[in-house]
Amino acid sequence: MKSIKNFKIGQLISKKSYVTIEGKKIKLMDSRDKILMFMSSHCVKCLKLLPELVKVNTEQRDLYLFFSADSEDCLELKNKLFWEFEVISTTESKIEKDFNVSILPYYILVNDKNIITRLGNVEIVDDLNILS
Amino acid sequence: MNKLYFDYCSSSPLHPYIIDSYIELTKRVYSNASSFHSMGLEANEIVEGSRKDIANLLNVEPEEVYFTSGATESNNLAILGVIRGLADKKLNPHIICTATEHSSVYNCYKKLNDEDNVELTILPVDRNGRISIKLLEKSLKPNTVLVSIMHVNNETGVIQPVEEAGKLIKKSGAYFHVDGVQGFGKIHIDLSNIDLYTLSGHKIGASKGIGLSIIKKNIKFKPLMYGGGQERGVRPGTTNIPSVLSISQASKIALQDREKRYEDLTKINKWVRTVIENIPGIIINSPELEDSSPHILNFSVPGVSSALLISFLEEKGIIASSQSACSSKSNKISRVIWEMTRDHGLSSSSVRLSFHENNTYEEIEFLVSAIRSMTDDIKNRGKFSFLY
Repeated sequence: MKSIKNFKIGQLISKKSYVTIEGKKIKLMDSRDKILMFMSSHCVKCLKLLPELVKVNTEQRDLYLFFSADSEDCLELKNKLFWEFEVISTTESKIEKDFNVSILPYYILVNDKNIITRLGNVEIVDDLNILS
Repeated sequence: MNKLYFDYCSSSPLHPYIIDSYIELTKRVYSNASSFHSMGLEANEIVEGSRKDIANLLNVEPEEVYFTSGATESNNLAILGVIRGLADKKLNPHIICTATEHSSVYNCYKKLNDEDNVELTILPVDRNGRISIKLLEKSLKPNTVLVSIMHVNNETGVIQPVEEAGKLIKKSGAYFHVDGVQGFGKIHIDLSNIDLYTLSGHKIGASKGIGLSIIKKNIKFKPLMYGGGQERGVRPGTTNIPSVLSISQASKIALQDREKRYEDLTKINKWVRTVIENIPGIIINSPELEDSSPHILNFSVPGVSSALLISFLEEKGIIASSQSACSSKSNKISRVIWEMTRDHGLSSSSVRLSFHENNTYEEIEFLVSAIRSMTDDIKNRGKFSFLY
């Protein structure tokens, strides 16, 4: 499959599927609105935002967090920070390869037609409000 | 909670003796130093007076002092300016830099190699972060036109043997560029054998947005920007007068008090070192003080990322950093620590503490308590425990 580079607004999201830290298989291309968040344990800004992720409204859309850390760390965070959204343990190089995202934290908003409607870096906690 | 700042290498506050004149000058002397009316001439006098003062302090000629926007510009100007100046006169130039240069030097060299096909030798460093003079000697070739070696490393405080290197490079006929940003005002330097020298204002108590390039008169050189004739055409653009005065004043203070500052910083460094080297899990990356500047102390906690350690320390009331502020956004590994150790664990978990000579006993006591508390929390509650 041709790898998608330079994700753009109006473009279809990738057909890739991923496995969450709890073993659940998720497809990026389904019929639900979703937010893809990309973060890393090597990024200070990401760490500041992690506790704020619970504020993201997930009633209208799914939230998938791609977090660069091992599964054990991701699971610890999910339990301690009471995350109810799905978490995918990954690496920064895989995030870059799959999504062409190199500066974190980053988000991609996808609508129920699997079209990217918004994307960019999240700089401060208030930026998360635009996702809610 | 009030936080204690230990990131003076990234930036320092305006020196108390400079603040008043900086504000007064900003209000009063707003004319363009290049204008020929009386207000312009007054501004020009301040600029040229500052240039002379800096030249005297550094033992160079006033015509060798150029004001820039900061160290990144000064480094780019030195490196790219020399190559531009030589490009049409000498074919196949060869350049040398160390593996642990600041990114504003390192990336210029990489760019020249990658995009302009300039032959590049990157000098490795040993476990203490020092280059080998013998290896430098071997690396010099008849077509070597430029060598850059930083005086004091911005992440570890390692002091490079720039005076020894300077003598060697001078004999070879190549130009010698030294990034003096972290060494100035801490470690003695003699510019006799240095052709191009870089300084930053805000690292020594001057304002931000001002730097210095010392470019010796004999250098074949071309500017990177074109415009008016400011800075004798080498660096055109309206002169930032309050900042020019501030870097002149800060340079004077930096050199006047250097020995006392070195003593005070050494006491601080030794104290923190003695405490943290006995904390299980901490490895000090900075070499012993005979090889490093006392205002910097770098350590790692293998297995915990730099970002986590910095966040942890901030939660404990300590502001620290990992790599250069210019590259700390999302880089996982410190290139500097990697080049010294070739150890992924150490280079992905480094923290840089940088001290100020005015740090008090109470502040240092608070710092070492915070580091102890951090390592206890990591061990007992987990490396993410500061988040909940």
